Amino acid sequence: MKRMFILTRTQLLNLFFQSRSGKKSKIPPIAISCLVMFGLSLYYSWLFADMMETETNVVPYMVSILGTVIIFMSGVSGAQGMLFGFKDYDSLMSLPVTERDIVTSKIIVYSIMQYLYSFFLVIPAMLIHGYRIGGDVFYYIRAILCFLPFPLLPMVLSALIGIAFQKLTAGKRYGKLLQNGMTIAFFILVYYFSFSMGSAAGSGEGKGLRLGGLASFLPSAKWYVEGVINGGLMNILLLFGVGIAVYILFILIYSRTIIRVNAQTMQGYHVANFRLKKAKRTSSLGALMRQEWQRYFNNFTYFMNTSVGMIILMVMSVYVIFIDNPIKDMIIQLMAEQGDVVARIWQTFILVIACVGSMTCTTGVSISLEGKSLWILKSIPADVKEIFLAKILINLMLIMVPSTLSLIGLGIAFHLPLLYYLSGILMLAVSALFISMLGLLINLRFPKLEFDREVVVIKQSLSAFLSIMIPMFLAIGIMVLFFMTGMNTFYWILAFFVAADLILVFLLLKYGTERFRKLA
Amino acid sequence: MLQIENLVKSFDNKEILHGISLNVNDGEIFGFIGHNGAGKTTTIRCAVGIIPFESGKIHIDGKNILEDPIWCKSVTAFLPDNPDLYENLTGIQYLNFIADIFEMSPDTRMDKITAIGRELEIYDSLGDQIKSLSHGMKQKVALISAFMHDPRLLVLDEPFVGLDPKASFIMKNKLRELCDHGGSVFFSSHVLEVVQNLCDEIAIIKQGSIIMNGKTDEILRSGESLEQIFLDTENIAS
Repeated sequence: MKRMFILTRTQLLNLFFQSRSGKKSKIPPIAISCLVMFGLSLYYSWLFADMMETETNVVPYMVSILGTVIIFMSGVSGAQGMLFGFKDYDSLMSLPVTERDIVTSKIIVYSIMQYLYSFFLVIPAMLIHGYRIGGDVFYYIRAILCFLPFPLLPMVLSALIGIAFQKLTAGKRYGKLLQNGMTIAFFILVYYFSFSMGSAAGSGEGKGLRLGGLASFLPSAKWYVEGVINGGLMNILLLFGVGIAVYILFILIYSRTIIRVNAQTMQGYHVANFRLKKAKRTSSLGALMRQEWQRYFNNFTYFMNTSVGMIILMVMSVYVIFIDNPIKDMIIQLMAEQGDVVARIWQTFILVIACVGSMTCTTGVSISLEGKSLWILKSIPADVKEIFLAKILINLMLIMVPSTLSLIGLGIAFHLPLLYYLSGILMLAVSALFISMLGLLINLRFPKLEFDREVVVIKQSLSAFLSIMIPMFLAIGIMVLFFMTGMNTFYWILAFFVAADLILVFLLLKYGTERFRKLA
Repeated sequence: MLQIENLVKSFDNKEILHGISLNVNDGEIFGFIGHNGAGKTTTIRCAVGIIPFESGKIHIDGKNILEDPIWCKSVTAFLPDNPDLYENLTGIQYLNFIADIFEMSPDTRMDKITAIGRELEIYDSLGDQIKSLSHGMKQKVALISAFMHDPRLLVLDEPFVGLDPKASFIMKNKLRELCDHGGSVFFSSHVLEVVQNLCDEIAIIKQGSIIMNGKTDEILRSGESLEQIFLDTENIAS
């Protein structure tokens, strides 16, 4: 037990006390981010509560259901990087500690990450709700204490799904492809459930009650909300009892499986009777692109972290195009009755697609991911501009292909004019180029070439954070500006991206190449 | 083939190399030895264009590495001390990547990879994922990538670490073979016996400065072994 705590403490120190300067800091760098997140979450929870009818407990049900869904999704993708494929596997296994101690420490670190993800959604909203309904001090105590067992059940379920995916794919030639496919299918199912949940809840009076009924499918969400709001002892006991029991059972039963699957994952795949086949010759740009492509699809966390936006977009497009729903009918009717809003509507479609596309920034960590292999790019006879171009082109392809398909699909579904397609392709191209170049510049400015697991670069590096947050705030700003102003704004946004792209090209050529040369 | 003139390199205002000058001639194997942290790897990384340097000049086959980096790199092969390759690729995928970058034809690359792969006894494992290979096997994949495009200059940092005796023997022969065809080899090593027996010229670096440089015969003229000479340099102020 003591050794397990030592292992856990060391891993947490390694995770949270990383600093770019390499100097030890007294305050974990993540603490500042957490404070900012907490503040933002409080603010948005207040706005959200303003929009909802507090007396029907919509907010608590909504956040606890959403919190469960987030733990589910981040838990499945997080399991791949945190429970499997850790690079300290060999050194940990050589230490005089039991396998159970190693796995338990890994599971605790994994759990803390899941707590962090759900904490900022659930706790601020529950605090705001308590304030607005005039909850007593026991409400707040229950809200915080009951949060401790709240994530355990979904976390264990998502870890089990993660283990199943890993077990099916570890050590197989196309294992990563299979793993990505299965996870996408799982995410689509979760999205489908979320959509169905939203539709079933409907709107107006009784929404809270209906959401409560839906939460019955997610027991921990139901026990949490009812335990906190009504103070029901049975719900609180079930939440603590079932959560803790399932968590302990998971560690006891699955520690050996996790170690075994890990060993299988670390081995990679082997080919019997290898025979060299004649390869086609590719240009150096093609070879660099192929290498980027293989890295992207071979790295589960990288793929999942940057493909979610595109998956949401595709699912939403299919939903809008093929499934009849009142909003679609309303828009079609509105366009038929008021011709002057047609342009405004298709411009909105284009901007929404472009904004979702901005969530796919693969270049934001593409330099960091070179890591210790950076010597290869620096010693081969390839121009730095060509290396940049390969990274940018892969990002462009990943954004443009699904975005264009969605654009065409929406155009067909709503019978939109030719100008929509032309403006759409142009807007998507310039905005995707902007995101790709911006990500690359950010990563060149804040590279993280030393890491023990790639997930550290993809999920926790400053460059990853900035390449997600900057496009996100920019997208919000653009949408707000568009809705607050007139129709010409669309073309001003287009002009902004063209100008920004030109500036970024200049910066990449002038400053970016210099930065790359200095990297070591 | 490789000329380094007055090379100065600093990290965070701390000067690591204090004006290094070396000359690797055509057809010559040049051994570069020194203590841990003396500046061998930094010199090598500057020489192949991996890291920039503050002042000095580096020429490969007459061309400046800063002014014409692509040309210089196209005639050079570099092998680091611990070749971190693309772990998720198979050996053959990595070799095809390098072959594409060096614009090798499909036939040539197939012949070269087969020949060197069989010689180093790694051929059967080239379809395996790189992360599944041992350190020595990764080293062999990296060696194929270095030799297959017939470089004119081969720069190696501690090339014998992790290689089995047979692979080590084969590599020594290949280094000599490359020099016999007019190429040059510049490598660092702690295995002084290999340096003594293999190299035409030797340089010893200490605390970022060259303290001894010359033909191997001249350095060993006193009859002392290279190991003894190297240990004697402990007393030489850099």
